[in-house]
Order: sequence, then C-alpha cells, then structure tokens
Amino acid sequence: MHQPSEVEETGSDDGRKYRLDDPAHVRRLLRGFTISCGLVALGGLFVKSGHFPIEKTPAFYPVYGFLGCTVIVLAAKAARPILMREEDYYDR
Amino acid sequence: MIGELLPGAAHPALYALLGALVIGFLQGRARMALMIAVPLLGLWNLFLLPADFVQEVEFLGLPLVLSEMTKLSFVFGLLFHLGMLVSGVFALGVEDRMQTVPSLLYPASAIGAVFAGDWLTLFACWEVLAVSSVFFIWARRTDRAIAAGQRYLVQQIISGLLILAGVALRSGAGADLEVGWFGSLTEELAAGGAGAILILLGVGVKCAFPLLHTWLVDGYPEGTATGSVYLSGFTTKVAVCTLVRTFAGAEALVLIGGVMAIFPIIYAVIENDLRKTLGYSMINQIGFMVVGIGFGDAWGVNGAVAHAFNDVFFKGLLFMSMGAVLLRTGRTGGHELGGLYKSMPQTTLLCCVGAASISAFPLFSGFVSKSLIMVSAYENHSTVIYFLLLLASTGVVKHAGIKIPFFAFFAHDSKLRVEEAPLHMRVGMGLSALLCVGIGCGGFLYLYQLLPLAFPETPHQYTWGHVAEQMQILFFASLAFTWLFVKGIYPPEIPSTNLDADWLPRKLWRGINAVIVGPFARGAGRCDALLLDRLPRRVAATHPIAAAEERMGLNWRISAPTVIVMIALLGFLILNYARR
Repeated sequence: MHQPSEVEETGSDDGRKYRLDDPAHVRRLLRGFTISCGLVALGGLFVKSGHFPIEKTPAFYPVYGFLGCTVIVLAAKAARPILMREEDYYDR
Repeated sequence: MIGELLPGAAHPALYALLGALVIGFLQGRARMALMIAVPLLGLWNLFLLPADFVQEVEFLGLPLVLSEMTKLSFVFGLLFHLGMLVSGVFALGVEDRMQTVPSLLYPASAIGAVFAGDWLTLFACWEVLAVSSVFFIWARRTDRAIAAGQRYLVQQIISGLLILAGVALRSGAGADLEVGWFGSLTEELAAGGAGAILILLGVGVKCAFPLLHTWLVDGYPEGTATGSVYLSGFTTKVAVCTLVRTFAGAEALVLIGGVMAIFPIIYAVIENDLRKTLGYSMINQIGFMVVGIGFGDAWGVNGAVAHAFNDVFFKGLLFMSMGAVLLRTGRTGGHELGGLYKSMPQTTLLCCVGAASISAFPLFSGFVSKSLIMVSAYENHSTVIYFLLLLASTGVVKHAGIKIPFFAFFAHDSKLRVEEAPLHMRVGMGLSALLCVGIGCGGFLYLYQLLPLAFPETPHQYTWGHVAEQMQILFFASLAFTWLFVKGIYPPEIPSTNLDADWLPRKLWRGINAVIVGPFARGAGRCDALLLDRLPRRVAATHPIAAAEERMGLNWRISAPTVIVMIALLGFLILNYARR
C-alpha cells in the first residue's frame, strides 16, 4: 500500500517578517474589529428588524449572537471529555 | 435515433455518461479538453431542451420515464452541470483514471437521478451514484481511506436497498412506479405506510439524517484533495431533490432538520481535521434545507432548493481550499496547520469568500438562500425552530466561517512554507468564488426565477432590517469567538477521534467479526481446502480422466463464496419445493 502521492515537499520558515507577526498590529486589528462591532450594534438600534416581539428588544441580535456562539463553544468544550478518544481509537 | 444524441433532444446525462466511457482512454490535453467540454455541451443541451421534454421507454413490460423536464429537475440539472464544470477545472491536473472516470460518471448519475421519472430509473442512478463516488475515497490508496470507503459504500448501498424495498412494498399494494415531483409520499408517510417509511429512511441515509449521517463525516475527510470536492457537491443534493419530490410538507422533517442544524456544530467545534469539520458543517447546512422542505410552503421549499444550489459552490469552495492545503502540505489537521496565508495568499482569500458565503454575509450567496428558510419558519409561526435556526446560524459563523480559514491560514504559524496552489486549482476556486459573490450580488434574481414554486410575494432580501439583523448576528458571533480565543477558553485543536453514532455499529461489527465471522471464515477456509483442493486431487489421483484434466490444467477451482452462494441457493430451492 503506497502512501498518498499528492503530498509535496514542504519548505520551512522563510525568515520573512509579516505584518500579522507584529503583536502591536494584531492588537490594532482587534481594536478596530471591536469598534466596528460597536458601530454595527449602534446602527442596529435605529433599524427596524425581526418578526417576533422579542426580536424588537434593543440589542437583541448582538446579545443573541454573542451568547449563542459562547454557549455552543462551552457546550462543545463540556462534551469533549465524554466524546474524545485517542486518534487510533477504532484501529485498536 | 441519431436525433436523440443531438443537443436539444438528448437525455440530460447522456454527454457526461459518454464522456465517462471515453475519458479513461485519454491523457494530458485531450483529457483536460473533455473535462471542460462535457459540462459545457451538457449545459447547451439542457438549455435547448423543451419545457415538456419527456423520455419514456418500456423495459421488461414496465413503463420507465428516463427523464422528465420540470422546474425542479432543471434547476438541479443546471446545478450539477455547473458543479461538474467547476470541480472539473479544479481537478484538471489529476491523471489518475481511478478519479477521472468517476469525475464524469458520478455527476452523470446525479443528473440521471434528478431527471428520473420512475423509481427504477431513480434507483439505478442512486446506486451508480454510490459506486462511482467511492473511488474518490479509494483513490487516496491508504489503508485508512480504503476502510473508510468500504464503510461509506456499504451505507450508500443500504440506502438504495431501503428505497427498493419501500418501492417493492408499495408496488405490492398496487401503487405505480411514478416518483412524482412534489411531496408525493407525504400523505402516505403521515398515514404510517411502511413503504413510505422505508423510502424516507433510504433517502434519509443519503441526506445524512441524524444517526444515519456517519458515512459523510467518515468518508469525506478521507477522499483525495480533489475527490472530496466532487463528493461534497452531488450525493446530498440528489437526496435533497428527492426529499422535495417525495416528502415536501412532511412535519417530521422540520424536527429532523432542526436536530441536524444543531448537533453537528458541537462536533465541528471540537473536531481537529478541518475537512471533517466541513463534513459536520455540511450536515448543519442540509439541516436548514430539510427544515424548509418539511414546512413545504413556497418559502421553505424554494429556500431549500436555493440553499442546496449555493451550498455546492460555497461548501465546494471550502473543500477546494482544504484540498489545495492537503495537496501542498499533506495534512488537514488543525493542530498542524496555521500561518499558511504567508505562502498561499490567493487560496486564503478564496477560502475567505467561501467562509463569508456559508456564514450568510450580505452580498454573498448564503445570505439570499438561507433567509428564505427563515421566512418560512416565521410564516409558519414556528418560534422554536426559528430561534433554533438563528442559533445554528451563529454556530455556522464560528465553525465554518471562522474556524476553517483561521486555523488553516492564520492562528499560530506552523512554519510551513509551501507553494501557492496550482493554477487550475486557483481557477476552479475563483469560478466558485465568482458564483458565490455573483449570486449574492444580483444573480439571485435569476436563481429565484428557476425555483420550483411560485413565491406568494416577491422576496426582498436586501432590506435595511434584514441586513442589519444579519450583520449584528455575524459580528457578535465573531466577537464571541475572538474573545473566547484570546482568553484561552476556546478548546484547543487536538488530534483525536470523537465518538459519534458509528460507535455502536463499528464496535458491534468488530465483535461480530471476532465471534461469528472470523471462526466461520476459518471454517469455510478449511471446507474450501478440503472440498476444492484435497478432494479433487484425491479424485484426480484415482480417476484417469480427471487425472488427465489435472495434467492439462483443466481442474476446476471455485472460490469459497461461490460455494456458499450455491449451497444457499440449493437450500432456498429445497425450502421452496417443500412449501409446495
């Protein structure tokens, strides 16, 4: 059984510096993203959207989006000890 | 006869089928030309076919409808031709016959299935779809892929057999072979008809219903770099089309789809293999479609069809970018990738287009199709399902929209420096990205006209309210991911196996293998040796004619399975005789 032929040679670090390697630049990006989140939420306050009464609550979508995502990740994290096995679990 | 081969009168799958017969003999430029020509010729034919096109034949006294043009079959026919074209361009560099033949045969069977008017034709296409697709997994030629391919194939074949059993039951009760084009079995299912239930299970396997879904997340990550792109485009979409035809409006589907939209997200978060993550993400997207089909109204069904259409390109694009990563680095594990934007900037950008589309970002294709299903949930006053789908939408942003590009191309630098994806792969991804943006930015107006049902009112997706709603969900789900990641709460990528519904069958099979099949096989091996080897030799030694045949090499040899089948048939014959 031969190994996949589609794997090619992989080089190693080229030593170049990229902008995202600079922690200050990443911090700036994160700050910019947080500010744009704030702007989107602010804009949302002035637009009528949604169908159900609860959706009319101010800042419903930002809260739902943030909490929804967090709850899912935490649930997955809690499920890990139950679901996770070694990589070769079925081969043994 | 010749007329039925020309564009405008040919069966929609004919050119792909003929191409599949020829392509194995071609190499290099001729093969590449055929890979592009076949879908283009097919598209030409599709657009020339009259709106009332029907092909009927009689086979063994049964009236078969080989192909029938309807709005539903046209839109899926168009989808599969475009999918074949885009995937073909992406896979243009593959010379391996084990993949080039299925790259036309597999789409041909998908097209055949969505145009088939009767159950027997559909069943035949359904099984060719199963058999031709497994080669995309086996072509990887690793022990792991071959085992995964076998598990995949068994489940695909069972799916077809369930349908056949259901059809046989219905036929026995006097039903005809017509599949129908809209919810033809919904009432039968509601009345608890066994035939309808079997067919639902059969379609459900291919549709990756919960508990029947493991073939998808088991098989797709094991495919070749280009094979998984094909796999992601056709099988489940044929199932979605068949589900519309048979069970549109079946209430059970709303619940099933809701479960499908939620549970894979949990797996997608903790899954390390990025292509397996995409597999779970695919089940989540099909969940949206199944909900829409379950509602059965114009919003829901049209939304499901439109979303299936868009899914082929955005999910295909994500699978393509991961295929390019696999080709260049030889790996798809989240823990061993990262920082690839430095050496694969174009692939990174194209992957982000796919990620934005699947997240339903305004101006991208997912936005204009998923929202139709949300309207359906609202119009049907399904509050729970509506907010469940909204929750699933936040999950999509996280597990597909961010996780895939982030862990492959950004995150911590894996120090892998590789070449950019080959040109044909970038062109294939570029075409998919063009469709994602094109449909999101205006192409949806044309797509909406192709959808099978008439909208009760003109859909307006780009209202301030809807755009604002979606932007807030997307931004704040992304913010949550960022916060969880920066704070170190987000679960790290760890190479592992996560237990899923295939735990029981796989463990059970191991047990059966050890306790029953193993000893039986050993016993059969001994019987085999006695009956087919030692006994003939002994006969040969004593019998002059047999001895002469032995010398001439004419001695008979049959394998153990043949003997088992013969004994089984003999037993069957005797039982049947005894009954009379």
